[in-house]
Amino acid sequence: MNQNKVLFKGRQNGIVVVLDPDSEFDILKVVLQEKLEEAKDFFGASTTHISFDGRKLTEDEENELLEIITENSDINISFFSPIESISAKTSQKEKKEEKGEKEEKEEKKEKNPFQYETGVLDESSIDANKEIYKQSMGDTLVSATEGNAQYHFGSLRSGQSIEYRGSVVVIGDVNPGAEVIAEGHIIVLGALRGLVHAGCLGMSDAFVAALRLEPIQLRISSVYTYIPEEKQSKELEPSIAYVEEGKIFINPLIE
Amino acid sequence: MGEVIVITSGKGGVGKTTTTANLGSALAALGKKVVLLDADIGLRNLDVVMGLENRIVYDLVDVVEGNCRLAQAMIRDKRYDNMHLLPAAQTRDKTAVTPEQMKELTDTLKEEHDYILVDCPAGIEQGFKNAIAGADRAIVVSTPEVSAVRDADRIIGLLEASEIKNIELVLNRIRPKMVEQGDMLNLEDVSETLAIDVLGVVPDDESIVIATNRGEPAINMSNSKAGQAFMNMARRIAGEDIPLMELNEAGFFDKILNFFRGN
Repeated sequence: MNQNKVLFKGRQNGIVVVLDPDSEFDILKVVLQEKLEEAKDFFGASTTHISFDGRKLTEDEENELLEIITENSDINISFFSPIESISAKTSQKEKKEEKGEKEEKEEKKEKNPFQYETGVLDESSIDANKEIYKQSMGDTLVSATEGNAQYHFGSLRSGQSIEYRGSVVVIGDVNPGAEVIAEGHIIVLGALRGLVHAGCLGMSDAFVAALRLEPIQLRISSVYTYIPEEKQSKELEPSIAYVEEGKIFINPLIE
Repeated sequence: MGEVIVITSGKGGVGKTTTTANLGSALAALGKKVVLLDADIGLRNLDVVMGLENRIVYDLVDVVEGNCRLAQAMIRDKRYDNMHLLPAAQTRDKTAVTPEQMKELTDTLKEEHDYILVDCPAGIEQGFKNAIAGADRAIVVSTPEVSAVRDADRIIGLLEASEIKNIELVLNRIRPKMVEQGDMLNLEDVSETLAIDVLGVVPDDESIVIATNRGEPAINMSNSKAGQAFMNMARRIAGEDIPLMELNEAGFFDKILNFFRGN
């Protein structure tokens, strides 16, 4: 349970430390320390920019956390920036949305397990999501906001499936007949030819990225689609799919 | 010590039995000691294809249940002294034998023979599990059709999970003209998805229909391209390095060129 209270997100310009808004501050301090110890080898003696996200902090609290970071790792903080308040707000909203959609989904599952409808996003959150998307799509790929990521080395053959309560990275192909179902994002470093469902519990800003995006069916949250034959290209074109205003958009990853 | 090779596919009707019969006969023609084992209990075909159905007294289930000795159930082939057939039972079903019993059986056969070819039934249930139980390596047969490739992929996944490491592909019933016209998958399309080594490619050939109905392997028929392909595959299994057959019909101009080149 402690795992999700403190998360490190990598951005092009540094590290964002995402803090659970509902936890006790003292618990967060302990978890931060644990996580830093775990990730010591990963961070090494890097010089980086740090910012906090997900929770409103007082100046004293910020300083305490910064001190914990410097004391428990070899990270050299080059620049510190205060909370990104947009994300702090939306993380509360997302949580409410997710709870609501989860209940809806369970109801729907009981009545008609295979019916997927075009989801309708809450009006006010659309703008906030757009902001985050423009910001992250512009710099770097958005890192998982739900839990951890599972890495699968090798291809998935027909009949094999991965289900994970987090994001999934497949380093290989996903063959037709194979499935990846994730609460978070799905990245395939290979050809995606099977079925994927990202944001399966309602996270509608989940994305699916692949070196070759040719899924039998692509689902993000409660929206699904496939790529019609005319739009399929034989060339290797890394692409990303995401949902905006209830529709799935697919863009090339490299302009 | 012999090798147990299971010939499987997932999809039915793609050529497992034909491959078992012809590959086995080709290996026997090369002088190897071969046993063909029909693991398709209840829907046995290997005996018919080999022309040995009239000679069946005991079968695989009799051996496993102890009704007879192994040697009593083995039928010597009509053409090759060094090849035997162990037929399946027709009036029983796949639950009559367990994977452990199959492994014990193939382990015994390994001691006296060079190659044991196990003809696997279609599907992924008990019959499949029985057939792969004692296998050292696998040959996956597929046709260049989307449904067959999908099933082959599933089968390869199951084989890999059973720790069978040596898995090779036989692409059967390929029609070069259709491939050229873009109406049929080619070898590259199929091996890209399946990602295993290719043992051989067999062209669609009428001689197979004739051979099957006669109860004779096609390798003995002259001008059978499919028979030739199986012969090449047997040679590859036996260790020779043979390039894949050129399947495109040489055009008139190419034939002339080949004549002048002395081919």
